[in-house]
Amino acid sequence: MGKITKYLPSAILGSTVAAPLAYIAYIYQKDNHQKQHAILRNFPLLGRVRYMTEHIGPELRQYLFSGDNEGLPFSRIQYQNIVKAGKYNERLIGFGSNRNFAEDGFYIRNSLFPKLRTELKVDNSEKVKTVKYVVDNEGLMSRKEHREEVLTDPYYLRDEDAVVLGEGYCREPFRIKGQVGMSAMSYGALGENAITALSKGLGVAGGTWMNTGEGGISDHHLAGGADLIMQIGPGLFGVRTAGGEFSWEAFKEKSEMEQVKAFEIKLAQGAKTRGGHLEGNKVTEEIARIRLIEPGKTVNSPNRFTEYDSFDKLFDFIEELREVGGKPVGMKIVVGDVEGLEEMVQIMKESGKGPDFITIDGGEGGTGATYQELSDSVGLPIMTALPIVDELLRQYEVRDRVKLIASGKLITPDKIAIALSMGADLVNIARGFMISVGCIMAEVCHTNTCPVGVATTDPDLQDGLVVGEKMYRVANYVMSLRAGLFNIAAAAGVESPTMLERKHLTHKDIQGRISSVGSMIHKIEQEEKKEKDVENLTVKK
Amino acid sequence: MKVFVFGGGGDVGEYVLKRLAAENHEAFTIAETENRAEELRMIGAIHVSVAKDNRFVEVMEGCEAIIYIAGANPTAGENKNVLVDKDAVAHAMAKAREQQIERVIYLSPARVDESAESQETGGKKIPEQLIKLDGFTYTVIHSSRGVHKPGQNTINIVSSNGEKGKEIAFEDVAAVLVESLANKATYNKTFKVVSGTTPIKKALKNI
Repeated sequence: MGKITKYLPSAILGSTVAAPLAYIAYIYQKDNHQKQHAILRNFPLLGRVRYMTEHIGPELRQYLFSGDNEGLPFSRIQYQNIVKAGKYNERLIGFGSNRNFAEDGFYIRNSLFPKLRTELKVDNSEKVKTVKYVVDNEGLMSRKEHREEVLTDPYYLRDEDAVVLGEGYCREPFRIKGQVGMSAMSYGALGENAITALSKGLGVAGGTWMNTGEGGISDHHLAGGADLIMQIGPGLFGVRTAGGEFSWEAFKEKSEMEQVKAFEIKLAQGAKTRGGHLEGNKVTEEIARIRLIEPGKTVNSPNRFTEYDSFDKLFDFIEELREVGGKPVGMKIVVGDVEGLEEMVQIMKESGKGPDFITIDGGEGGTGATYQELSDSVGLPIMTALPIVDELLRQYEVRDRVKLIASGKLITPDKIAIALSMGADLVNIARGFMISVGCIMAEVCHTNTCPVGVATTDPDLQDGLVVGEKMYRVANYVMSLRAGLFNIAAAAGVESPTMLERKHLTHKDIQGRISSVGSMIHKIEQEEKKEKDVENLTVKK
Repeated sequence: MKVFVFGGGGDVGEYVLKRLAAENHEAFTIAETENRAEELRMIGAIHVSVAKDNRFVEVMEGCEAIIYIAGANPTAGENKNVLVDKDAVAHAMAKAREQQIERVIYLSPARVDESAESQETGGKKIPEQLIKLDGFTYTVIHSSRGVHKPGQNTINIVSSNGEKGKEIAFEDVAAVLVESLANKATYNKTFKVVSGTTPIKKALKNI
């Protein structure tokens, strides 16, 4: 007893000093002798600071050091705009815009005589019951807020302005009373909580749609009663036979579902102009059942429908799908090859066949995992791609048969309005909706470790995402986008965002000069002509 | 019953029109523009005349009751010291007399949660005195501040002002107005409603 009390203090002191020293010495030795990192060999221990700060750099930049307008794919401000619209149902900002007006960009041409609120052709006859947050008191360290049920205006389009897919071409055209919907996001890429919250939120908001993604229709997509567009990718998930062929039987079954309003064939998407890859350990029983594949087995889907390598074959397939399903059939493309596109439009005109809608994904689009090289440099961005498709369709007089859905970072009403003016009829959003259900842009979608439980199927992580809470954020976000569109329409002097055209848009360049947003095709042709002239001149010489 | 609604395009008004349609009354009202008129028809108004036409008198023909939802508009009246267009109320009531309409339900812009002084400001209380003097079978209703929240179908009738910050759903105010139409307990009464726990029908019976 006496001995213990005598030596204990010095023993404790000794170990608190000696143990860390020993550990430091061990690390020093280890760093010094490893062969992987030069920095650590030259600066043992100290060099570790580099890896630590590199690791937490994104977080530090996002929260502390980056300006509000910095950061990609979405800046802090853009992110906040989505969150505020979802949580507080509020889009007001104070003390002016944070946009950099010195840069070039598109602007809405506001009319000197804007439309009055009472002149807008909006349908607010049915109020929507939703939940929003109200801030009671905000201090530096605390924010007191409460949640309350409210009735809000849904900002539907009037019946006569509703956008109709497949009108006159299929038995059950799809009428949509809003211009904003959810882009393709599969169950598996997002977890069941995220998909359920999205489905319920979109169901509450109404006048919108949910694209299932190529992963097929899950119960979670169906959970909220939202209208669905089922996507069919080259992997044919959900509509395949055991052998991997297209299953007409499975397709017919899907087309008979009340909630499924249209089908979309995915030729390409902005993020991945490659085939899909689904790791075997992610193929759970449920995912296998939905996608009609074998559980536990890795699936590689090709980057093209193996059977359809020409527009003629593809259009015949579309005809058959429309005939069997009775519902509109569209296709999703990424624009890069303008000549190829022109050939497609020409065939549409000559054969009288073709899709009911074309979803144009901008090269900047993308949610999930993909390769950097495809994501960065394959496919044109939406504000170039969209007008080209619109013009080609007009040039060949088939524009009235086809509706255009645009996507690619169109997350705020102004961006959407610009796309609508450029020729889009509807707009798809993916990441904006991810943010509305809680995404914090951790950029780990491909690792199944999403810290907020959105892009993961891990049940523990998904526990953080409460469906009953986030569904209203989705509803508020989509309704606030529609309200914003009517705001812009009024400013532009038209009664409804469906009436926005190119003439409502202007482009300001970096020197402050403005130009109207005219014909893209015309510009391409002019450039080609110039090149030819130069060529001719040099030949003559 | 054919009911003429003044202020049918407002926050409470829209719910009044919906409620009247739901209870098989015929709602007549006035809108500012043709576009707005179309919206009110979508909600359930049977006949909407556009204010510009100035034909509301002829629309009023055959109506059996009036619901007047008065707003406190800072630009109303002959000058800005007057917040409620009392001339418009007087004009409407004179026309109602001509049409031999007996029943008038009036939602006062003077709110329950306002101070007594504020209630008098801008002549907010003048029109209801006109109605009472005019010999209609009136019901004058004061409510607390209206909000866009889902209706609870329950209210409280209070006797004194006060209860600051207490709000009521527009939907519930509308329900009280429509429910009062044929409820004899509310005839020739002035009462104050706030959000509460008593079912509307029961609350009105006990006035």
